[in-house]
Amino acid sequence: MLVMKTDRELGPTADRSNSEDQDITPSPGTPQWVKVFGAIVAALAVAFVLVRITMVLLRFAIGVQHG
Amino acid sequence: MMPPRVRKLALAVHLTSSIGWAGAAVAYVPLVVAVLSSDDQPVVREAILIMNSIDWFVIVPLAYLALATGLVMSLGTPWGLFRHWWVVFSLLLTLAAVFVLTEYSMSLRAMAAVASKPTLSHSDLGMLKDPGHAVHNLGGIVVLLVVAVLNIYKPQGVTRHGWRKQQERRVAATRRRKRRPALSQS
Repeated sequence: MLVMKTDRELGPTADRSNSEDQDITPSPGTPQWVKVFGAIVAALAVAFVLVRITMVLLRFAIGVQHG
Repeated sequence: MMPPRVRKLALAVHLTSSIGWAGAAVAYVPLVVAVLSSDDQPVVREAILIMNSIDWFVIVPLAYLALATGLVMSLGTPWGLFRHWWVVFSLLLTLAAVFVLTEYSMSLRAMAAVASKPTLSHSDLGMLKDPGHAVHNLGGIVVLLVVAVLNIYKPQGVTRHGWRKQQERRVAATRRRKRRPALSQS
């Protein structure tokens, strides 16, 4: 008999890479945590790019000022 | 898929390199504090040179090894690279961390060249005491902790690609099951 354990039963440290247990996710709908996490990562990526652009512009401005 | 022995070896290398990367990043913190808090030229100079050595000989190799073994683990097991959201986020964050680390390491090499000069001017010292050391170091530790949490808890959620693959596997398994009784009868 095939017993399908849930993630909670397996525990967080269980090695599930070789088992069928990962198939218990039934639908392709995006979970809430993915939306929240994705929004945070995207916001951080945009902030990172903006900071980089600002730094390049500042360096260029300082370079022009000092001739 | 990888045979179990190879998978275990890859997992061991991946865990060791990832934990080593995080550990080296934490060990880097006191050196950053020394550079940013001290006005003593020899202290700043020596700290920058040690940071450069740790970065190029420990952190960068471990980071690339962790990324490479992570890719091997994903592609060689049923987890896949784009099937589960936690794997996708882990990959994106690791790629970003490796990219920023490489960029930072290049600038650190330039700083180490300045620190090697026999005498340091006031502007040289200002360049070495860049607050970017702390931003990169602490930012890197936070990213590595987030990736570690994702890898340990493996939050549920499959991508569309992963869902399609699961459906294919289910259909294939059902076909195999249906075929088996027919074979045993013949």
